[in-house]
Amino acid sequence: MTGPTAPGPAAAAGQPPAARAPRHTRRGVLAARFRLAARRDPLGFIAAVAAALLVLMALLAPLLPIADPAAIIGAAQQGPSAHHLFGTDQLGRDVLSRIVFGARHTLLTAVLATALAAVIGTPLGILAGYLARWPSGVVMRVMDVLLAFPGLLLALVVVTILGPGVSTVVLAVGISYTPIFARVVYGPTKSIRAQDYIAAARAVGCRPLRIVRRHVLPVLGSELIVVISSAIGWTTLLAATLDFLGFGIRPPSPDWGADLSAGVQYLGQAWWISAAPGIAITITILIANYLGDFLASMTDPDRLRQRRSKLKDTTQLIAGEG
Amino acid sequence: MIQFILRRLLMAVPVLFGITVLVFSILHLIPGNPAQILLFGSSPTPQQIANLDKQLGLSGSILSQYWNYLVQLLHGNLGFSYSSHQTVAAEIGSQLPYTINLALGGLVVALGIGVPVGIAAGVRPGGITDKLATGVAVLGVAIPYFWLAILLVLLFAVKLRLLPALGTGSLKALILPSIALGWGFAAIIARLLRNNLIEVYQRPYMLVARAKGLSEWRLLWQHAMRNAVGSTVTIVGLQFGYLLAGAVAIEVIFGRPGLGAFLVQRIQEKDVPSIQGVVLFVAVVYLLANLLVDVAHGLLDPRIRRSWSR
Repeated sequence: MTGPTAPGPAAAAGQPPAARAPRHTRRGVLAARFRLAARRDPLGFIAAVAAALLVLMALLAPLLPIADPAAIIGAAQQGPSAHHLFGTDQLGRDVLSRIVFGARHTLLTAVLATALAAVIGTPLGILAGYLARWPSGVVMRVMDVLLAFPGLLLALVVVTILGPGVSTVVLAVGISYTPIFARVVYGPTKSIRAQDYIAAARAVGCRPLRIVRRHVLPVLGSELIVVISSAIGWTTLLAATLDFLGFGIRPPSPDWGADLSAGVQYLGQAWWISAAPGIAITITILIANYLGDFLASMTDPDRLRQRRSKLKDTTQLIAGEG
Repeated sequence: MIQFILRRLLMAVPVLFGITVLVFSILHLIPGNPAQILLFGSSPTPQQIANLDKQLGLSGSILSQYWNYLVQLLHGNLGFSYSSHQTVAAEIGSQLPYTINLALGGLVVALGIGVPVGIAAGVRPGGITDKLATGVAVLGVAIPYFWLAILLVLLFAVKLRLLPALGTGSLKALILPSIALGWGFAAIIARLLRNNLIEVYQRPYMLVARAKGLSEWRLLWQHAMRNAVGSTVTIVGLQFGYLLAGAVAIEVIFGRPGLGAFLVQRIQEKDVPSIQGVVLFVAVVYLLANLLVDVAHGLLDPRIRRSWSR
């Protein structure tokens, strides 16, 4: 890898000092770490930029100069051309604009589901790790039971109970990932609890809630950011799988999983109909993974000093469990 | 050792209990009257509903209903499907061989690709093999397996006409679904094994082993692999359940029969007893697979055994 590795003033040596934010502010520290991480991990930097572009694309979709995703704008099954970059689908709709508008639905589902999993799973994991008496056993056994159903199966159970639909997919994916967040938080919380500074905080009379908020959560913070970032990739995949199987959004609305499944029938004549959403899902998962690594480097100074090839990556963290 | 296995078995009991509670409650969490849900699609008369209530003991308290459910389970009775008029157990039995073949095929692909690639990459981190393998592995994890399935069909069945896309008859028909199912798993194994090997190669005892003149080959197999393989084995167990779950989409795409395709069809038909049966079955198989893996892990590594006897 190129660039200086030592943290400190050398990291930003190439720039005039006036352009930098003051070091002592929180923003200044973050900006400096961002620059440092970008030099150490160019791929992660690209992922961070790509993630920003992806979100912008989804947010600004109605303002972009592309066709209406629901409008039939030409002959069906036209191959990719200058006019229709990704071709047209089985009904003659522009595939590119369906991908762009589909991102809105697919990504929103993934983000909401991840948020749901994090909001339920994290407190449960902290509770179990911090209390470490019988409530801990109960919470973690319940999580074990949920983990006993492989991700897609648990999601399908939720679909069975609630019936197919857009909000069902969010809930199904969110519930499937809840035990993973609880698991990820549980271990570190337990080891933080054994630290002397927690005993000190308790000795001066801090209430448990304050200890968790002031002394446990900040330490977990960096790990959580990483897990959330990579989880968005996997929730995208799981949500797309459910939509692919026909348990989510109804056909006319653009969605990556649903469009992919609609194109399967036309594989022989028009491969691009299902190839385009597949590529979109793949790229999203890649971005989410590299972004996770990048954020890990940004929040954990130790990682910045290691050679990239020796680093453990976050992909397996989630992939191994969900 | 026996104590370790017993302890591990004992740990599985509450989870098994929880699985039955969750599966049992599916029927009761669906909004509406259970008997009506069970008779979905057959426009039952109130008399039929009342009869079914009585027959299945659905009128009692929830606890007594759960007790009935458990007793039936222990007799191997998974219920009765109202869309096919067969017992759920018989239907699972007829679908199971297809899914087992597919899952085993996926496992063979995963280990056959993942282990060699992981070793090649882990022995020389940063080398050309490592970079190539890491690139392939990253793609392997990121490409949705159902999309990979479609690409494989397009390339090998539609364009090249080398392998059949559909059907279950021959071993040839199993190749494409197995690759689609096992590829992502192979990528996970490769990355994990690589990371573990890198860690092990930095240990002092590896330096000692090398200093006393062992060949690289013996170094790898006698010292590095034995220590690196542990968590890989655990992941294989964890992921086995995902092979079973992944089979759902793969079976739908390839038009194969099997538990996954069966489950999707029955969810669409709202056939709750069949859904409960398949979900329970897969969860229990998954639990057993993890149990076996943990025991195997304990056999391989005495430290694991000791950590359990505390």
